[in-house]
Amino acid sequence: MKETYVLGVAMNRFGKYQETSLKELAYEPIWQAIRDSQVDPHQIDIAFVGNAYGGILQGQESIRGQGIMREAGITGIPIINVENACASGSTAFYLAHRAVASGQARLALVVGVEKLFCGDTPTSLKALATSTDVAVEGQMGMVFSGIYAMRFRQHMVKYGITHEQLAQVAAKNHFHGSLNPHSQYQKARSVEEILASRMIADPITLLMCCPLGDGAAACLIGDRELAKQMGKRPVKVGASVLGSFDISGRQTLSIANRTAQKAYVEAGVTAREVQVAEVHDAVAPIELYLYEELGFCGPGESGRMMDERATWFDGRLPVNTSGGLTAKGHPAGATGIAQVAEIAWQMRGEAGKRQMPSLPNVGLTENGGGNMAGETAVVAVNILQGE
Amino acid sequence: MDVNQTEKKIRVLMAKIGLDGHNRGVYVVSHGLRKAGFEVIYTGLRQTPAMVAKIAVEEDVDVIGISSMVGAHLSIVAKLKAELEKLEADDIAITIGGIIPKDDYEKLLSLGVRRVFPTGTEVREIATFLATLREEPVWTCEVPGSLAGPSLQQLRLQGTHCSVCGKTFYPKRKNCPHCLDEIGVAAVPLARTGTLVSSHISSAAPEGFSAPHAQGYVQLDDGGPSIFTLLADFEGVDLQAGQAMELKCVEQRRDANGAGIVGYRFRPKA
Repeated sequence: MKETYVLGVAMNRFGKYQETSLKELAYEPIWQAIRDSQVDPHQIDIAFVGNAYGGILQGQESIRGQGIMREAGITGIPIINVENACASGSTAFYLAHRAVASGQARLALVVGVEKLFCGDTPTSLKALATSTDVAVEGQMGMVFSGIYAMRFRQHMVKYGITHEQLAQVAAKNHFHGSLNPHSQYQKARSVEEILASRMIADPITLLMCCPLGDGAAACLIGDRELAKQMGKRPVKVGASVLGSFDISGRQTLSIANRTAQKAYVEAGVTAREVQVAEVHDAVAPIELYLYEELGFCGPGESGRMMDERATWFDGRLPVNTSGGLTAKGHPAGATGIAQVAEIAWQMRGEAGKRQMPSLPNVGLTENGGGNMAGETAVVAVNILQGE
Repeated sequence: MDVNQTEKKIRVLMAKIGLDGHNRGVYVVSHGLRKAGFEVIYTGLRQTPAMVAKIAVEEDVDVIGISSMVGAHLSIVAKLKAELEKLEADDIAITIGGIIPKDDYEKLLSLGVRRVFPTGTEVREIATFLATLREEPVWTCEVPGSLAGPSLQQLRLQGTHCSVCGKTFYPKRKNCPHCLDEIGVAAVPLARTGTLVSSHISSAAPEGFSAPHAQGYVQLDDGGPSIFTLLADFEGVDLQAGQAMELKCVEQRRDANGAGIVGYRFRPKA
């Protein structure tokens, strides 16, 4: 396998773009990523386009990627449509990395785009609820806030994590969002305000939940030579791993834990070497659970990390400096690539007001999607290494 | 309906249990059912539940028809059910007739009674029901193929057990995901009881569901799997992990042809 590198990265500000089509949303990030990469666009060998709900919400089925690339003007190359729930973008990234690592391509384009606003919130929520087995869990009226609440309630009881600590996660992410021009929400929120907001599914309150969102993100993956030509700090893909739920009865570890373990082995680093991370905080409290599953701390120690402010952008292990899904927003197909973009910006010193005090060398992204048989249906973990 | 078409006639045990001497009704029903083509055995007055269970097994009956006039129906049925279980004969259906308050119907049905026939019921109606006893009803389920059983109150979730690795799965499946083989798998009814692992209650419900919307994971008893389920009858109960739960099946809605669609919920165990 060849070494692969993240070249240019780009995203638009996540938010509500009622009048803008999927194609139009994706146009700017695609071309910004190409310009940032300093490559000849004619050299792009293959494109992977991630999107989850464009079929059900926009009615564009089967060749969404071709439609998006038609607008971008890049045609004739292999275009792969990637659909994997909220991890569609990460899955596109995974495939592009594999394409370059295997030598199949030298330069691969990764695009993630989503429009969740459709003018009718129940319709949008109904679309999201199809990210489970519609014949089984779907018949029980599965809702993601409920799934997260159940997962976290067990955890709170077991380890004595407080509501205050949960709210601190949301406060941190809203604060980071206030420093990020790409963030859907750019307003800092206090712990009191977060706890006082409407209860969605105990212990999750409204200001702990990611909003519906529209948006797009893009990046290019290339070989070492292209990374050097780019003129910015090379960011190597140390690992790109995809895991899925498991009903075999053989697994004792959670999907996030076992997928991360594989990624650490592939990248040759340990969890304790990670210096910055973007994780799937679809509801803010789940970030604490993820600290533990990803190995940032021991079981039950995540609450203490909040007390120590370890994961604020100037802390010892900043997490979700972008604002995370909670504040930056969560246009499903775009999320995984936006996470990669944030890590690349931090490594290159391009993160503006939320820039970490010293440039990190090892960064991790974790992106989940769907739910099946009591587990997240898909989890993607990437490890990026600044050179 | 022609019950004579069945190869073996349906055998009915008419029973009077406990200190209840009102036997006019049981005579009328016994006579009527015999005329309708059933084989009828009558226990006589003042039997114990153990005696009735024993007779039912020895006579290989399809159904026990209890006549109750004195208000002891709930305890009689519970005891009879327990005696039948001891003899591994709880597949024998139980019906009950006589003077029974409407408020007790639901309790009787959940104890496993298949049908309650109040005073005024025509024998023909009882005969029509008994003739269906050997037909296994087919249920249309919210989760396809998830439930089976003779009555709504006696439905059980259907899973798959693998005799090679000993694991049980829900929903039903064609192979074992542990062994990746079809060789040892068989459909099994799962326990009707279990323990709450985690739950949540939302004030808002998604379209098509009623609010408040409560869901949980329930670890089924007898080594059954943990399943994701809607919760019911939780008002006033402080739902905590470890709460004993039981299955409650409901007719959730009707399809385009008016046929009932059944679904499962779990509720705190009484």
